[in-house]
Amino acid sequence: MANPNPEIWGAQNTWVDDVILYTAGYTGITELKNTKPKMANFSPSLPVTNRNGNIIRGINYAGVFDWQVPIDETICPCGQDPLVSAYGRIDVYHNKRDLDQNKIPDYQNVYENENINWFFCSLQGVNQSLRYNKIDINSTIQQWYPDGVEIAPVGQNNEYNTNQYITPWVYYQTKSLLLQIMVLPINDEYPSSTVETNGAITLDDWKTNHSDKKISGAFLVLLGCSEVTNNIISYTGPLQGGYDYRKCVGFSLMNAVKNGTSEIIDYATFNYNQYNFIPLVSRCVRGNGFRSDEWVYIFGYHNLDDCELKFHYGASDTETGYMVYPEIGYSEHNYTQIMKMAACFGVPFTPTNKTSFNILFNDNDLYLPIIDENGVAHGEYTHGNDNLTNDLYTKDSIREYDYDPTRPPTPIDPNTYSNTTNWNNVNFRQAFTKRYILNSTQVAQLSGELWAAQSSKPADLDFQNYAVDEYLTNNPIDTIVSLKYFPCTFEEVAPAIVHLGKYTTNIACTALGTSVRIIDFDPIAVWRHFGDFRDFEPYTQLSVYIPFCGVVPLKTADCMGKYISVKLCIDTSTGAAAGFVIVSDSGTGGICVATANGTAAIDIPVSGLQSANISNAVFNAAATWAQTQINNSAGTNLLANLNSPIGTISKGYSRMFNMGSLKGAVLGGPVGAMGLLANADPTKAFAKGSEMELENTRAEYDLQHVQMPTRLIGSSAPALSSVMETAVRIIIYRPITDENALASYADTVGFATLESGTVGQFSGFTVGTIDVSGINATATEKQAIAAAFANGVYI
Amino acid sequence: MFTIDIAYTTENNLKVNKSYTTIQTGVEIHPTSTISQENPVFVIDYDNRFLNANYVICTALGRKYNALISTDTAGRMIITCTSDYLSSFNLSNCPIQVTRNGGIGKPTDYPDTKYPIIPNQKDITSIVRTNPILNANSDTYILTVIGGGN
Repeated sequence: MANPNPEIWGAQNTWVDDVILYTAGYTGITELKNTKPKMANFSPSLPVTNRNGNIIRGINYAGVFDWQVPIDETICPCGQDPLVSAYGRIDVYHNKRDLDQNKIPDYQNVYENENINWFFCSLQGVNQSLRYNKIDINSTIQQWYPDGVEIAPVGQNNEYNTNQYITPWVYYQTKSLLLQIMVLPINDEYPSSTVETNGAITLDDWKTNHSDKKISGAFLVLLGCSEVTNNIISYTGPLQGGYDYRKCVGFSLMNAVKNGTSEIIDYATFNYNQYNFIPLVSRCVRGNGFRSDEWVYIFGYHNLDDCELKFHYGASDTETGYMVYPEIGYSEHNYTQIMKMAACFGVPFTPTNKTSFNILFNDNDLYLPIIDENGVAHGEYTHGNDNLTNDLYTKDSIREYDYDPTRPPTPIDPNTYSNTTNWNNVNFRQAFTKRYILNSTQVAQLSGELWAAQSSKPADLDFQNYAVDEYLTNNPIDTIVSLKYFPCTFEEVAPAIVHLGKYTTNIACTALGTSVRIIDFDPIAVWRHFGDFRDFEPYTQLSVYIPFCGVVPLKTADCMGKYISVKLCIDTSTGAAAGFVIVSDSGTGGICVATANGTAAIDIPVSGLQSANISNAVFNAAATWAQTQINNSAGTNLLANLNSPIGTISKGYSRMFNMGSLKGAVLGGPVGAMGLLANADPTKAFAKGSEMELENTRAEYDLQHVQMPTRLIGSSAPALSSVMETAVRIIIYRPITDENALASYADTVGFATLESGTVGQFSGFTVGTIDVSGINATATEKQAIAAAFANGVYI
Repeated sequence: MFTIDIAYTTENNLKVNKSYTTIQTGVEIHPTSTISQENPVFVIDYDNRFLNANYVICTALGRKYNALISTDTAGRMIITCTSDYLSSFNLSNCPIQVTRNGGIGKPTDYPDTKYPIIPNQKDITSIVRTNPILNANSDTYILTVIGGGN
């Protein structure tokens, strides 16, 4: 086999034999670690120790991975995405040289690269710790491949062509393997009646009969497939026949990581000397410490949720080293997790012990992973009759998926997409104003309170000084910033008494604590009505009516088959409304695709008296009257009238504040002064001939008719939008099909389509482009045939 | 010398593989002049049965023909043929990319600009969602005042 992919494996002339493993002499982990084997493109060896720290196994992995350089190439045999591999969940713990407490993933400092690959490799041979090298010409150790396997180039570079390295598979037949899931109960409490005396029992046996036991790990046993006939898949049983699991050695590909910190970090390696299974969750032994800037190759170590890491100091006092293993209790969740981990390998698996190796594909105990179009398994699976619709049932080889190891995978889009608009929780402080929630009764009460506040001034205080001190303004009316009607309810914060400046009213209400009132409307699913092109523009159009914001057109293609929801936000200060249209696939989250603005609140104008202005006016009128009196008395009554302006002002006040009709001015009622004007006697004012009397009358008139200086807060606002409904409404415009014309339309025009096939596969009126190669017609006839099909023929 | 079959068909001229009813098989043809493969003209003895024929099958030429029958004053019939290329050859295996088809029972996802849609009408419908927070009769007023400390 030619080098399948130089991008992955490098040029063939760069392939280098693995000399590290046997030249290192297996003297200890330190030596190998210091050697830091890095071959050109593949096959560095990973030392694996037993719990005494002795090297018992070397592990090849393909490729040299640099720190923080992603492994772009998917090199595992089935195209498994590294990120979905069970081993992709490797945890690196940093917990002060023991692993029994405080599981703290240290990804940030140690392991930022999650690209971890795995592959199946297996070998068969003697039941002992294996050493293998290229001069093993006696084939003590035989590399085993299931049917249809093609191996990686490292095998091609093997001059003895056997027995050289543990090599990853490039291709395999999807049904050439069966993985049997085994678990290992702790403390040797397994029953002797299980399938093997080495302590392992099947996953289902654990579930059914020994769920009270904890296990230290789950393992996979490879069962080879001999043939597939009809609906029956026949397995040869464990490799090499019989149930000697120790001969079924599996390796997984792990990544090399570098300690980027200044601290020593503990790590664990597999204790591999006892059970040579492919570990899913396995025992580990503690390593010698992972020093700063040091590389180490780390095995997968997957913890289930309720896994407890136990820390043991050797099996006896004479042994050194620490053994760390998980204790995993039975739960449905853990059972499913292990099943999913097995499913990630992309080949059939079973949690049971099949006594018969002729298994029907719809056997309830045969599980088939669900593999996507790229040949990637994500941990989902089927079993029983559902297997018959599983791709793995119909496809024989991983070649039938799109995955092609000779073709570099499509680069992963580095962008991180977010399909949910983030909404802020806005609630800023209104430091200089206070807002109250009133009802209409309290609004009316407010009107009276404004006038009550006006008359509350103690007689001995100057009005303006009183107003500034009491209301923080010249006039009580100026304390009001706005009064708005809102067509919605608010979350009331706390009981409150309305204050106008420092003046306390008798209005008991609640304070408003919301800056923006957010109103969410439940999602509306927009279904296709016709199931064809008519469901899209220009035939079908969508709009959404948002209260106070109006009708917003939507793009049909954005919304068809999705959920539309509306978020209406009302600014409690200004009354402005903003409607947001959100489109989502599931009715939750989603992206905001359209916005609209409007006004939800209605300004309520508030009128009141400007006390300071009237104070001035009264003063001026009284002064005029006094001056008139002085002039008329030719100085004789001067002294007597000098005090009159002040007195007159007081008089003027008392007159005005006795005008009960003035209160009607609060909400636009007639000004009380006009009533006075109507009651005035013009004959008294103007009919006298005496100029002096006329002056007196005019001055009196001025004093009586000082115009009430009123103030209006806000103005009447358009309230038309409030007439519209307060619901969100998706408006759908659909075309109307001329049903009467359909039959003749089909017969004479045909429906638009884009189908490919041969002429014999179609019937009825057909328009298309025909390839007339291969028929014994003249050129003219072929042209005529093509022209006829282009215009339409009847088949 | 070769033979032709005289027949008639009621099929649409655009029909592929027309069906036909044979009137007479094995009518002998003795060419006395040039005979075109695509548009042959056959001269045969007069026969009343052929007056209604419009279709000719000529195995020797490997074709079926649409035929126009005429007679001359010498008691002969002249059959003017044009190749029925839609029925003469086995087109069933020819690859085709179909853009329109009446046999597919429903329109597909491809926009069909000819589809019979009533042009001046639209069906308007709507879906409503309410939220009790929003209520036009809420009787809610918000008063904003300066200061206002309680």
